Amino acid sequence: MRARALRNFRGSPGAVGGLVLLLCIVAAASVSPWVTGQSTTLVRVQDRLLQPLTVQGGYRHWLGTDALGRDILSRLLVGARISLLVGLTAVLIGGSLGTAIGLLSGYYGGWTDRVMMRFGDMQLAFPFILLALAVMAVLGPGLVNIIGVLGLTSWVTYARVVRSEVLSLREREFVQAARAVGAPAARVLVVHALPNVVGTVIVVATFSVASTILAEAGLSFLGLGVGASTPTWGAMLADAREYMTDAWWLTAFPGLAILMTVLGVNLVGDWLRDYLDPRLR
Amino acid sequence: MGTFVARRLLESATVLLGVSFLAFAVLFLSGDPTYLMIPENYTRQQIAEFRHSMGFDRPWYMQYGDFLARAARGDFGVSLRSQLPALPLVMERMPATLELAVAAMLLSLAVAVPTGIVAATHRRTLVDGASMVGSLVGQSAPGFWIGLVLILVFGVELRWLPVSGRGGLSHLVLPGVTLAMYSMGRNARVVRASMLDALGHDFIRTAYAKGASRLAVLYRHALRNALLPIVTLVGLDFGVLLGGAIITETVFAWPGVGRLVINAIYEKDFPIVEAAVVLIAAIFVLLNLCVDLAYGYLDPRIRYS
Repeated sequence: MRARALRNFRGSPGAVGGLVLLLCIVAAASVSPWVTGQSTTLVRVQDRLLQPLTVQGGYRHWLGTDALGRDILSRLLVGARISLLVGLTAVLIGGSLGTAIGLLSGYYGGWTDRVMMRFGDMQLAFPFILLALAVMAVLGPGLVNIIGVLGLTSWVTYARVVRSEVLSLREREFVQAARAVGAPAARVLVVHALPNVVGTVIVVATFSVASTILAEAGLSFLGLGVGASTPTWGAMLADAREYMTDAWWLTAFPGLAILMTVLGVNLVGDWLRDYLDPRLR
Repeated sequence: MGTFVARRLLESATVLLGVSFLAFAVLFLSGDPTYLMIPENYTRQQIAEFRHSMGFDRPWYMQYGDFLARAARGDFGVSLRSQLPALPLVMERMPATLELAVAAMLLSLAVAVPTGIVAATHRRTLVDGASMVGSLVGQSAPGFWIGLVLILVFGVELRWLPVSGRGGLSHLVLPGVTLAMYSMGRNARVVRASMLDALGHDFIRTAYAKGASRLAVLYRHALRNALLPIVTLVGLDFGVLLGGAIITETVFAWPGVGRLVINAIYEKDFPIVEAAVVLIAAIFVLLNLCVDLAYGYLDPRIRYS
């Protein structure tokens, strides 16, 4: 099984490329303080808006500096940590919540199911970003707030997919048998249903990491994300707008960072879907 | 078909009721709006009187009932900033947002459908690979960044196109392309997948066997069956486009509902936010109702399930 997965993976150039891209970003994010040796918040106005590759004060600014003289590369690397942190934690929250709701909805059916699914419909009737914006406007910017909002609003997809799987699993012999010998609902769900939906959940979760990173960038761009003092990719792009005509590098690099990260996740997700669950195509 | 329509209508009404509750709850939890509405020099006595006259001292379910009754009549209160009725202010901006969303959707379909068809019929060739990588990139790039790059290239460097505001067709190009990018990528992939699915059926082989031309098979037999998932997608897409319009409008200073809402959020002008949220949700629900009905009409299997 493992060997087959590995062979299949190697045979897909997109998946390999995506994984390499992601590994590079994770590695860069985790070693960022030692690589750059530059403070991300140190303001040096005399070094403002330096072109990429400029050497200033014995230090090479590979990607230039921003309007306050802060090194772009250092800020991008710290931003990578925020993006990955928000993406992964929010997906963990949304995924667990959605999977639990889907399992219960599918297994019990009836009123629980109807109420949960209608609730999901309501949430989908909202353009998601509008909901997130309204909540962030009330709560105010902040790391915990944004993770909470993005996590709690993403459960619907998991719940729907898991529910439909459980509906069919419920009729299968091994589940019927487990119920016949008197296994409690919790055991049936965790031991028999959960392992059978895990593949699907992983696929949904992967794509969800991509969309969460994009959503965080968008909210931070609008000033309703993590908060002004933290160098997030979205906030860097918001700052870049003022200097667009004189400093192209302020706009180019944070956007490329987002694009590369999301593209990496999507490429791996594509392969995972084809491999784990071809029906989701 | 009658029961199907009735059931879907009832579902849409429930969803709208829920949305109105969410909109109310978010703003109710944001705190007492009294202090946003009164002059600073009010005495405690005057504040209490004002709260009472506005009904802010009543329990939440009474306030919600009141909100609902007024909302049903189209009354969302007055903008805290301009003192004008909220709903007309939002309605006034709606045409600009719809213009942008419809333009983006047409552009997205005009590019995505042919791309998806060509990719499916040339499976595993360079054309297929390139168009699929291209659509994945379109889906992975943040829309507002694409907007900024387009402004940088076509507005600042080349000076070909206007970069802000609403005007003739030339004003629509950059925001339209920006907003269309994400759904273009996704639609191309869906069209390709559903074309491949349709091409795998027995009736395609039958059509070829009876001597139909390749073009006839593709368009008369495959595409017609592949179109169903695309119809659903258009409904869902519109919601994504309306949401995406909020950010796109900010980038291009497009005078639509999105910019109005963003500014209202910054200024804590909640009646405007409520009116916009409920109105956008209503449009979205109505559109999806139409899509579902069309789907039921196109594919009889759905009505009876």
